[in-house]
Amino acid sequence: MEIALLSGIHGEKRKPVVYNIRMHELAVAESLIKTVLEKSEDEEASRVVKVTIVVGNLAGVVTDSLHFCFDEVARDTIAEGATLEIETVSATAFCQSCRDEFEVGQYDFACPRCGGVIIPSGGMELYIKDIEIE
Amino acid sequence: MTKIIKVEKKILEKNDIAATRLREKFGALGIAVVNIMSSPGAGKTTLLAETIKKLKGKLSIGVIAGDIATDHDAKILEDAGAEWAVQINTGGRCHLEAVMVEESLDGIPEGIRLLIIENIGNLVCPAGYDLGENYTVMLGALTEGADKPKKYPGMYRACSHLVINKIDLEDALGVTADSYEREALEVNPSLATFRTSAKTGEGLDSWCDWLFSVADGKG
Repeated sequence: MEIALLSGIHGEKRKPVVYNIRMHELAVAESLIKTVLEKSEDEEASRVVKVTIVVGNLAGVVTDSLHFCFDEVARDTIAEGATLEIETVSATAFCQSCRDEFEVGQYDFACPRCGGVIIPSGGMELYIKDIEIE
Repeated sequence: MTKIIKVEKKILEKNDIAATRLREKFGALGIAVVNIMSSPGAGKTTLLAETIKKLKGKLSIGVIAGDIATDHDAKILEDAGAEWAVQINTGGRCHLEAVMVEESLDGIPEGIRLLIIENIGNLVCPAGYDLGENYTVMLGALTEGADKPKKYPGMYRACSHLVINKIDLEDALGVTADSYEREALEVNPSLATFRTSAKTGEGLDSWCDWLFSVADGKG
């Protein structure tokens, strides 16, 4: 590991810490496959058939892109060809003015009934629900 | 025969675990940590350089600067007077992760009281990664236009504080700090806000006072 320590105190000059991984959903897919493979190994599986995950609508994950990246990172593993099932869940919000409660999307900023201030809760879910293995 | 195994684990659990480890480490070392996020070009480095100059001699500051490439920012912040500066190059990854911060901490000198993490300039992904910080700060610039909070709400919702920068350009741009702040508060009503111009120095005092109180554990 090389670290750029550009410190006046230490005076050492080294190169920056360098990583080379692109794209947000790829990072998510990599974390996902790691856990899936660990769990499958624990269960002594020979093949992963399906992976079901839960993604909140405010979690900032593009599901099409995640499908694409999952297929890529699963290649040459026992999860190659596995179906990735994505269950989406919505955030809810409570209006501070009219006390109405409703589902909100990423781009809802006000109560649809009275225009009042809302604070979303939930919607940030990003977890593996279960895996189907052989 | 297939069988279904319950997993119930967060996909980014490893980041959360690393962030928890970091938070414990920072706590033990007595270092307060602020994670600053913004779009590219909002002025993070310039604001931080001016901040470090202002606090020099009063507060010992370390910096981790994240960029896709170059060690430009760490050099600027070191020149500004940071006690310790490290550059992380992600090579394309659009956010910093807790493990990257962990791996960069090697050799952090004793006595650093405030660590500022300058995240990758990006208004989407950095919000999803806890870096073990005490405070997550969004830096918005008037040059971006006041519509950014509603176009990238995830970032503004993930932060507790918002710095509105480049306020000296209000007239030239026809964008006001009032309008930017109003839009941001509609996305996240609990944001505490600062208004700054890193160029003229306006507003830097209250921002620096806040950082000082954060380092004192009273943020």
